[in-house]
Amino acid sequence: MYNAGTGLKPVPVSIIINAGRRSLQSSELVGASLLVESIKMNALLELFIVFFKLGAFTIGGGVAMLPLLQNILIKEKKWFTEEEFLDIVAVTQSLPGVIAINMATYVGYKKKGFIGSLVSTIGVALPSFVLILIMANAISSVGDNSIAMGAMAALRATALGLIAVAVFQLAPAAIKNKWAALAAVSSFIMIVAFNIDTAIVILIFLLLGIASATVGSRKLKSAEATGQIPQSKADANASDKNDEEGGEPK
Amino acid sequence: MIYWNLFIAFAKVGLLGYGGGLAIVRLIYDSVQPFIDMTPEEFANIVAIAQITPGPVSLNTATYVGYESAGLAGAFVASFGVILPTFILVSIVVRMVQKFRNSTVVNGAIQGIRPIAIGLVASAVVTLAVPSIAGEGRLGTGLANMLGVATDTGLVGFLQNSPVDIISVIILIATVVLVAKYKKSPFVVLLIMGCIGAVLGVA
Repeated sequence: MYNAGTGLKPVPVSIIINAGRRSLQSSELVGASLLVESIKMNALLELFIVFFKLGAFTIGGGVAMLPLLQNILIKEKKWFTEEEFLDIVAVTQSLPGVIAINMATYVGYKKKGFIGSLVSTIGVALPSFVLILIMANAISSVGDNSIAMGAMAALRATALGLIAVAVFQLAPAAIKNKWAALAAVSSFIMIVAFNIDTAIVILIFLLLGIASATVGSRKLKSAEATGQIPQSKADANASDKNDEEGGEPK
Repeated sequence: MIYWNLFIAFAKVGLLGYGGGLAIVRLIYDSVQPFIDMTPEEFANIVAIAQITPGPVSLNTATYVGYESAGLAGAFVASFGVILPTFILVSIVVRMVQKFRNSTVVNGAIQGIRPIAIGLVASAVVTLAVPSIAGEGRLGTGLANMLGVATDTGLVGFLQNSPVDIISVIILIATVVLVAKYKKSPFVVLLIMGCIGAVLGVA
C-alpha cells in the first residue's frame, strides 16, 4: 500500500515517512519536525515579544511606537529595509483604526502570515488592556502619585525626542527627489498650518501618486519604448522615483 | 444588551476612526453617549488616564470605558470591538498590496503617500510638543521640591515659572543626542528617562 502510494505520487515527504517507518529513524523525524515547529514558534514568539514591548513601553500609542519599531525592525532584527518600513508606515497611516494595531497586523502578516498578524496584534494590545485595568482600580492613588506621574512626564518628553529623531532618520528613504520633498513639506504644512484633516491629505497624495504613475507609464510606453528600460520594469517603476531608479543601473 | 452595544459602538470607532489617538477619542464619546451614562468630565478623566498609560490612546480609552460601564467583560468586548474591524481591514489590504505591488495604480499610490508618512510624523511632533514639554505636572517643580528649596527666586523660580518644563526639555534634548549621535537603543533611553522622572517626581 505504501509502495503504491509513493509510486503514484513520488513526494519526498512520503518517502521520508516510509523510510522512518522501516528503519527506526522515526525519533529523528520527530526531532526534526519539532525543530521546525520550534523555529516557527520562535518567530511567532519573537513577533509577540516585539509588539508586547511596544505596547508596554510607548505612551501616546501609534506614532510614539514608530521610532521603537523602526529601531527593532530595521536595525536590530533586519526584517525590513527602510523603504519597506516606510511603505508599512504609509499604508497603516492611510487606513482607519488604531495605528498601533494597524502596524502590528501589517508587520505580523508580512513576517508570518495570518498567525503572525494575530500574535502581533494580541501582543500590542495586551499590555494596554492589563495596565488600564490596573489603573482603573488604582486610580485614586496613581493620580496623585508623584513617582508614577514623574515617570510618565519623563516618558512623554522622551517619546517626543524619539519621534523627532525618527523624522530625520526616515526622511532620506522617503524623500528621494524634489517632488517627494515638496509632497512631504506641503503635507506637513497642510496638517499643521491649515488644520486639514489627515484623511483628506492622504487621499490627495494617494490620487496624485496614482495619476503621476499612470501618466508616467503612458509616457514611458510611447517615448521610452526604444530606451534602455525594459517595458515591464518601466511599468513597475512608473512614478516620480522612476528617473532616479532608471538611472542607477547605468 | 450592554455588551453588544459596547461591541458595536467600538467596532464603529475602529472602522471609522481616522488619524489615530486623540482624533478617535472624540468619536468614542459620540458613539457611547446614547447608551452609557457618562458626563463629559468623567470621560475627560478617562481620556487623561488613557493618555498617561502606555499603549494606544484609543485602545486604552476603549478598555477603560468598557470596564467602567460593564466590568471586565465590558473591557474585553470594547477592546475587541476596536481591534476587530482594523484587523480584518489591514489583513485584506496587506494581501492586496502584496498581490498587486507591481501594478501601476498600487505602486503609484504607495509612491504618492510615502513622502506623506514623513509629513504626518513631523506634524505629530508639533501636536505632541505642548502636552509633552509644557503639560501638567512639572518635573522642574519636582526637582525644586526635592532640593528642599521653595523660594520663587533664582534657579528654583526659573524651574517653577518658565513657560515650558525645563527638565522635560533637557530630557528631550538628551534623548535626541543619545539616540541620534550615540546610537543608544530607544528602549534603553526610555527606561533611563522613566527612572529619572520617577526619582524627580512632579508637583
